[in-house]
Amino acid sequence: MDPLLDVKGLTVGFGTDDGVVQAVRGVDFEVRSGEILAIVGESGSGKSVTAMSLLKLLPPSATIEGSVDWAGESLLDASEQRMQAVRGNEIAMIFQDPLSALNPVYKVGQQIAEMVHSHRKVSKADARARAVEMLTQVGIPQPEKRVNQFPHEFSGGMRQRAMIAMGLSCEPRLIVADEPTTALDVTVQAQVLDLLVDLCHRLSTAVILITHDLGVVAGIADRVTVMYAGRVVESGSVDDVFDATAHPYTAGLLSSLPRLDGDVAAPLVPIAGQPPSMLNPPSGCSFHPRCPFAKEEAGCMTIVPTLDERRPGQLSACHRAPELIETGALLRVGAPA
Amino acid sequence: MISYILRRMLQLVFVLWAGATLLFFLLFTLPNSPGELIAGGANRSANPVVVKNVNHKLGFDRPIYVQYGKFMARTVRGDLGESYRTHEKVNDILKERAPLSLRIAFWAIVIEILVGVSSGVLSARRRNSFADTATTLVAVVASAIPVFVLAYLMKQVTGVYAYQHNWPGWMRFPALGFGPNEWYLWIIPSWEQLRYLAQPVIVLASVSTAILARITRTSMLESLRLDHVRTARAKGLSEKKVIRRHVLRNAMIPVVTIIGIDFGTAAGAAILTEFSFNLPGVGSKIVTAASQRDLPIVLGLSIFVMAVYGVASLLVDISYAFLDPRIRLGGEDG
Repeated sequence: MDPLLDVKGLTVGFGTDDGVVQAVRGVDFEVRSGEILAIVGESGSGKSVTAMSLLKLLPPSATIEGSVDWAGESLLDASEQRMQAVRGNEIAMIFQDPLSALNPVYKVGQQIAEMVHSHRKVSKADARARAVEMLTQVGIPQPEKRVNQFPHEFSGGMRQRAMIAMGLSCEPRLIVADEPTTALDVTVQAQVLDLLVDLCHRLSTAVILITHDLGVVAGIADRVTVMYAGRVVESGSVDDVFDATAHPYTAGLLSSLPRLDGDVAAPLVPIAGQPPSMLNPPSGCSFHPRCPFAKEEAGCMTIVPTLDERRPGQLSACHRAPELIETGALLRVGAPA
Repeated sequence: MISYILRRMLQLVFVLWAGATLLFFLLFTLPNSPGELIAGGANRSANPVVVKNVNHKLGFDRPIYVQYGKFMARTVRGDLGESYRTHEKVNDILKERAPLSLRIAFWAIVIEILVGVSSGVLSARRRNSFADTATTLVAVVASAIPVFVLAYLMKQVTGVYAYQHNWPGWMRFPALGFGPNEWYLWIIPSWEQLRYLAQPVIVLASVSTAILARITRTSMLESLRLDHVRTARAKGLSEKKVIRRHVLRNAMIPVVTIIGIDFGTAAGAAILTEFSFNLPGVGSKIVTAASQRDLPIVLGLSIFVMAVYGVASLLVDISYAFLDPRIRLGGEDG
């Protein structure tokens, strides 16, 4: 099956006074119809910039290269007018903090209706009715009343539901959710995620879920792409990546997570060091300064590793991957010696 | 909302009372002998006996609280007193001058809003472009040129040079005075009136327009960075709609605040413009009266100016509630 969205060699740089910051450096991934792809990484790994560049929502100081193929159409070459038709209608976005992402001066219903209005030839009343319908779908009680309220009258979880309602109101084929639950209380995070996934399955909308939270990924994503310092370091099905990772960075992330099925008394092992500055990223493999397996002879410090298939459908960018997979060393990262 | 407006009106009455009282006592601490003004004049020395008699007859030798009581009693009845020098009623002065001041202020504010806001928006949208640099430059120059210099230059060009060199009629403007006083619906000038009105209004609007353009620009830039603007773009709205619906409205609060203050200033303190074009406005009369120590005029006209400020700021506060629903007026239901 042809992928719905095919991103190849995506490179995004920002011109700043200190030089060009390469936020994204040659990212490849694809999303198939109806599937949920998680893009995982720490702050500064370039995952949000990747998402924004798909819809060309970055400030003019950004330069985007590579190719973004949307159902056979190159989005990077598309006109601004065409992009406006794509945004919201074909690819919708959900943002992290729904309080600041919703306009405080318009009613929630107006904001949903505005979305419908800009892509469908509908009357005002129909757009409003659609807003009520969407609020009902995302499980907001008393939608008839809520539709006339302002974002500040909603709770955090309700606001994110309203964002989801807005995102899905034009039945896009792909939803890009940028850390949709990060700003929410832990207690409502799961509810909101379940709702998003459930609705997307029902409407067979594909999802790109951007998160730093591997726990979120495990439960709901079909495939996962792990980013580090603007590059993809590993990608594959969730099961493969979680159970048999092929990259030391993913192994580090996994070992810094508490697990229910492991030894509950085992200490969590953080990844040593700091994420690199993107103004002057490390040579070779960007992860080498923090990698417990980095080796001079393998070329970790000098040669940029390529993203190669290690097992069927599982890719990783690590010079020592074959050897580490062979010996099972990655599975023991963080385990007591 | 209604109860808020009523409360604010009451508050306004209190503010006017407090302002008038403060001014009354401040002015009466000045060395001041109304009797001398009335009996003689600023430069002629009147017979001290006459001065004393006049002061006595008009009650100016009574204790200050008695005079204050009389002042308040007549002010509350809507009588602002009369000039010491000319015995003109302050109410009549106000009736004659206030409409002019309000009309000029109104049109100056219209220019300020149209030109100031739109050039501020343009600057912010095309940040660091030629248009932005040009507006910034014009704004700095406009706010730096003293009003009377600008007025003098305009009069020289359109009021003197244009007549001397037979420029077409529409490029000539009368340099002084206020023309036929012809208005439609009280506020819209007739064509002939417009020729008298145009220059003073432009001069009066110049500085505040420049400042408003800068404030609009800054406020827009701040508003453009907000997350919900990104959401609006991600919804697929055109750039025009994003700016109009999602940036401008959120950027308007500081702009509206400034406009309110400017209206009060333009109506009550357009002194330089009024003197430059020889217009019978309120501000210039206050200055003249103050220099002649004609206190009833100063007090009476000042109360009018305070009222204009008060009403303008009430309108501004009400507009906040429309611009941003998070602002609850007067703490109704918390």
